[in-house]
Amino acid sequence: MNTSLTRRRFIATSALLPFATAGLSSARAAYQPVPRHSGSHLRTSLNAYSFSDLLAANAKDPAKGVDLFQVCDFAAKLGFDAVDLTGYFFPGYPAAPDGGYLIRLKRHAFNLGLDISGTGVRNDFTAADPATRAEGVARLKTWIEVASRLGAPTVRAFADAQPPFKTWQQASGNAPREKVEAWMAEACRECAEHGKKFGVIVAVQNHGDFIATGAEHLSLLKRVDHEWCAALVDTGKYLSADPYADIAVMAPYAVNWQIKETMQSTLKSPRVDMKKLVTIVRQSGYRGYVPIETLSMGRKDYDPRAEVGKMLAELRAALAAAE
Amino acid sequence: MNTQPSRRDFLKSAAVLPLAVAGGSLVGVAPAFAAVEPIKRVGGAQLKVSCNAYSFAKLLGTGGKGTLSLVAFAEFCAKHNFDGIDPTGYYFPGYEKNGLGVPTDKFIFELKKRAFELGLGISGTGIGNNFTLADREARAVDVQRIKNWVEVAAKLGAPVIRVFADTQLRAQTWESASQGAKRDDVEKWIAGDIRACADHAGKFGVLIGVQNHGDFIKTADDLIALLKRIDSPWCGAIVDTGYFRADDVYAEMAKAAPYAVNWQIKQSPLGVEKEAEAPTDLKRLLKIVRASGYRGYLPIETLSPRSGGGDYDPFKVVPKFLADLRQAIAETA
Repeated sequence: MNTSLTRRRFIATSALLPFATAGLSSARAAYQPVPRHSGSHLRTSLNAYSFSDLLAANAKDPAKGVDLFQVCDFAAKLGFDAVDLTGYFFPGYPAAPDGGYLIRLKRHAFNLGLDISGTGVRNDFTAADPATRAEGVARLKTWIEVASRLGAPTVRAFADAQPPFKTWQQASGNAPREKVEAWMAEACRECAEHGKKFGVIVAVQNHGDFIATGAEHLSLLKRVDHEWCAALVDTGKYLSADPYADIAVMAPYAVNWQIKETMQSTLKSPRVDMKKLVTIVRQSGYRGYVPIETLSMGRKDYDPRAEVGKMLAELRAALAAAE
Repeated sequence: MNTQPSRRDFLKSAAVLPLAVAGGSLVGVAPAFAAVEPIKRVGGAQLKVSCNAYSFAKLLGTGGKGTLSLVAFAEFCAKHNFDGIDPTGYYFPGYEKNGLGVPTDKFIFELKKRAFELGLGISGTGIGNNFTLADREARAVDVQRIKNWVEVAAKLGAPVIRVFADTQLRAQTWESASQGAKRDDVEKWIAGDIRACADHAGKFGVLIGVQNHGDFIKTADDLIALLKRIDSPWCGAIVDTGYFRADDVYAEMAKAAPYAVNWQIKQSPLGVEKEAEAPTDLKRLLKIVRASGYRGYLPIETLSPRSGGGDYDPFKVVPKFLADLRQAIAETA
C-alpha cells in the first residue's frame, strides 16, 4: 500500500519550490493501479439490485416480494460466494439502518457462508447546487460506517447525474466538464478520507453519463488521487464503440464490478461475451469478487431468479474455460 | 439466526414469576428450552480454504516482531490461492501476551485493505486467554482483552474470534490451574466469562468461537455442554481437528460439527507428534464436514513440533497440506 505522500500533496508542496515544473510530476506517478499479486483469483457474487422490484415491493408491504435476507438465501442456494447488498433496500434508507438489523443481516450472511462484497448508495456529485453534492457526501459517509459494521469492504458511489436530472449537463447547469470533474473529485476525496478512517474503499461506478468511457473514469480517479478511492467497473455502462477496450483500461483500477447481461444495459445492445470479459478481468490480475447484476430492462416477464441463474452459469463456464 | 430471546433471558424473566421458585432451581425445565442449537445451515455445504497464521508462528513472532509480516503472510496465501486468512492476534503489533493491547486502526486497516486487494477474506482471528484460573481478577483481565479484540475483529471484518476454554499454561492442566476446583465450578467460571465476551461480541456482529484444546475440553460433549451453559447466540464452536482426546476422534468431530462457526484443520487428529504415524484422514473429515452442511471457511493450521521444530518449514508444509485438503474437498464434492 502506498504510504508515501500522495501526488496531490506532493504537488501542493512542490508548487512552493522553485524547481517544481510540470515535467517533474510524471516522475511521481501517484494514482496507481491496485497492487495486484500472484495472478487473478475470481469468485462470484450477486448484486441484490437484480431483485430491485421485488425488494421495493417488500419495502412497501412485507407480505410481498423478497427482503435482503431472502436474497442471501437465494444466493446461497445457487452457490454464490458473496452478496452485494445495495443500500436502497435497507430499512430507513438513506438513513443508516438500526444496529440490530445490520447485525442480524451480517450474521445471516455468515451462517450461509456468504461474504458481503460491497454495498452502495445514490449520490449526485454532478449537481451545481453544493447542497446536493454535500447531501451525497453525507450519505456516503453514513454508508461507509454501515459497510464497516457489515464487514463490506467497499461502498459504491456514482459519478453521474441522478434524478431529477437526466444528464450531468442538466444537473450542473451546463458547467464546463473540467469544473464538474473538479466538484466530483473533491466530493469523492472527502468520502475516501472517511473511508480511510473505517477501512472501507469508495468504489466509483461508471454509469454512462459523465463517465461513459474508461478514459473519463480514469481521469476522475486520478483527480481524486486517494488510496481509498478506486473503480467499480460496470460492464454495461461504457457507452463507446468498444466497451471491452474501456473495461480493459479500467480493470487495473477495479476494486469491485457489476457484470451486466448486455453491454449497454439495454435489450438492444449485445449480450456480454462472458469469456472475453473474464479474459480481460484475468489479464488485469484482479483478485476478488465479480458480482452479477441483472436488470429488468423493461421486460414484463423479467424473473431475476431465472436471469441470475442463467448469468451465473455463463460466468462459471467462462471462469472454468479461461482458467 | 436465532432472534428469539435466549434461554438465559427467559430464565431471568421467569425468575420473577411465582412458579419459578420451586427449590430455587430451574434445571428441570431446561430441556424444554434448549437454547443453543446447531447452526442453521441452508443449501448444503459450501467450503472455502483459509490459512491460520499460527502455521508461521516463529517467523511472525509475538507482537509482529518476527522476520515475516502479516502482509507478507497474506501475500504468500494469495500466491497459493487461499480464499481467506486467519490472522492470529498474537502477530499484530500491539498484542500483549498478558495485557490489553490492541493494534492501531492504521495497522488494522492496512492489513484489511491489503487482504482485500489480494482477494482474501478474513475468516477469523484469535487470542490467548485462560479462564480455568482460580484467580478471578486474572480472568477479568482476559475478559477485557477479548472484548478489546472483538472490536479489532469487527474493524478487520473478521466474523469470528477464537478463545480458549482450556488452560494455556504449558505443563499445567485445568485441574492445577483451578487449584483443584470441581469441574462443574470451573465450567461455571468459564461459561460466565465467555458469556460476558459474547454479550459484547453480539453488539458488533462478531462471534466468539470456543476451540477444543484437549484439556478442559477433551470431547465434543465437553464442548457442547460448555456452549449450552454459555447459552449465547453469539458463541459457537471452533472445531480443532487435532485436539479431541477420545477413543474415536472422528466421532467427536462429527458430533461437534453442527455447532462449528470456524475450524482448525490439523495434520494429525492426535497432535503434532503423531503427524507421521497418524495423519488426518482428510477424506473422512470432509465427509463429516459436508454431512453437517457447514458453509464457510476451513482454515488449515500446521504446527512446528514441540521438541523444537527442527526442519519445520511452513512455506513447504502449508502448500502440501493445502493440496491434500483441496483434493479431499474435490473428492467428496
